[in-house]
Amino acid sequence: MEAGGPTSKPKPGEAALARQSSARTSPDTIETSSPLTSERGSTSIADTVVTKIASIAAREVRGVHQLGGGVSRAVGAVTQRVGITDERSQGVSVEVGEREAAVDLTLVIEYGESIPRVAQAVRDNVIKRIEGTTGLSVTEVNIAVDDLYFPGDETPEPARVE
Amino acid sequence: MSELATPRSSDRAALARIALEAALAVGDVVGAEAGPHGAWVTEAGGERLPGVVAVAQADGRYALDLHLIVRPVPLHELAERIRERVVRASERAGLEGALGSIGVSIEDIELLEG
Repeated sequence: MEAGGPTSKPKPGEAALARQSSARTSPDTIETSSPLTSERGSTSIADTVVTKIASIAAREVRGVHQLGGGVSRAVGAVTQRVGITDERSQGVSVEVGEREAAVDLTLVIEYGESIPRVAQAVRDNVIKRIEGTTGLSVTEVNIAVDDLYFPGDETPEPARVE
Repeated sequence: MSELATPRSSDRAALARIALEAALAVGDVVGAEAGPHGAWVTEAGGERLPGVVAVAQADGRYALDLHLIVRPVPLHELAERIRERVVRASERAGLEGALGSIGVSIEDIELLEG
């Protein structure tokens, strides 16, 4: 399997470029090799679908505390409270083509865990879940570790009554 | 007279309705998506069918595109089950000659967790 990627900050559009270049490599072979194409028609998978699967797959790994960078977590906390966004899209960026997908993840990892080991476990699980569920081939999973979580980091909710 | 097949004008709406009903009857399909500004809706004879688009092909048949919300199961297998069901339903309705390609777009997945 070719999928994988560095444990570093994904550059904007990196996933898109990877997907595009990969999709162009062998145009003669792709039509017959994808489980998403049949003689009766083709199947397409929306970005939202891959985003949700990647998010859930990342959270399944022990050592992952949360997804998203500092800003997106702060904004997400507000928007989720008013029901504008889904927590599952936080920290996940995907590019989905007809046969392939690339994923960028931003993680907060629990202090004490091995970052390379958690990152690899996340990458493996994300690839396994996306490929198993959608039939898409995952070309890369880029992981940015944005923060470490220490127990007791949460700010307690302000009391509603005094 | 054109050499192309000339399906009845109502075949498009009938196929769209049959395909949508067949798709929604497949286990693990939970709904259909009308799309941005209702782009994935077929309207015919006052009937509104959200989540299916039927478009004439060059050969006179109609290509169907289904836009669905499903449960998180292997999606390529589910798409094949949907296509089989649509083909069978169109055969039962005597419309298999008007049925072209069947595109299945998974627009979202519905998770059991909250």
